[in-house]
Amino acid sequence: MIMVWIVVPAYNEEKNIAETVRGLLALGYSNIAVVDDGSLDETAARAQQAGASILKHVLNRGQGAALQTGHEHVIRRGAEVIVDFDADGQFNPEDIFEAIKKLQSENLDVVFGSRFLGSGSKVPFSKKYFILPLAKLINRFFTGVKLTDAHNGFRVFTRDGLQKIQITQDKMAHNTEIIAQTKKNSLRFAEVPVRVHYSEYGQGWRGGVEIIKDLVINFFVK
Amino acid sequence: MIFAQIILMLVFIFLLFKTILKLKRQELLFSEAVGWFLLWLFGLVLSFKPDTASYFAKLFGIGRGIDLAIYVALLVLFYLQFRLMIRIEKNSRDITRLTREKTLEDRKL
Repeated sequence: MIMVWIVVPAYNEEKNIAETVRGLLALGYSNIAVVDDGSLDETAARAQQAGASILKHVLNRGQGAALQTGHEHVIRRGAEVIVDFDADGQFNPEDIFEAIKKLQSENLDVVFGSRFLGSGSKVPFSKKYFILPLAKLINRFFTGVKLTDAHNGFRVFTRDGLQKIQITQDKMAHNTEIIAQTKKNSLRFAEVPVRVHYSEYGQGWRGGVEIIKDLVINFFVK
Repeated sequence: MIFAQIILMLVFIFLLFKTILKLKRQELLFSEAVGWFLLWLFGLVLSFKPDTASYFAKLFGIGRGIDLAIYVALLVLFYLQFRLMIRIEKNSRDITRLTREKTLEDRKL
């Protein structure tokens, strides 16, 4: 039996976190590390009550920073397969099984979730036809990797694969950084269809501009 | 020589000394110190002989000396702004590292 750890970065998610954790537990994923990224609400308490392990950032550092903290923690705890999973309840825990199956059967290092493989996700119109195609182009420009989706937080890693990825982008540009490091380290990767249920819009144009700014600045930071 | 020129020259001489002092204290890299030294020297020359600006302006194909001074000032400001952004990003990453260390340490306890 492989040791699977789920890493859930969370910021002010008291409304959704307990349901997200319970959904994962219901499918038998008992190793859940919720990284409370300096939330101002009851996120940590709700996640703990629901049955997750809690890591708490005293300051809000961003989703990328929270993921890296979670990754380092679960690697120390002996994780063999690591799943990145959003806290807002928009991902479907049932997709984890297929992703891990693909990771193992095809001997991969990383599996990325895609909203555009299969037809399970109802992506908002402007996001589907304007924001995400542009984000895919930008991702391809910065990483050289062609994927069917951009900035999807659902990922599965092997232990060895994850140990070669160090997230330095604290905010949302970590999505692009992970893909870039996957290519740089010659990790084997593939995509799997995931179903995303949109309860809120998520990142818009402004978030995209912020990501590009972070990626450009990154070139000059040693 | 008018009073304003004397004041400006004193300011630039002060800045030149300050740059040398910072280099001696190793608060500036040699390349940075040379950049700042040349900038303050240029300011000193301009405040001593304002006509020099017109000479340099013509060299660069710019009409008036004052225009050249504004362009140079803008370039310097943009560069400084860029340097500040890099510095802020580095500081931000340091804060993240500290936050992470504390989080992982707390988890061990």
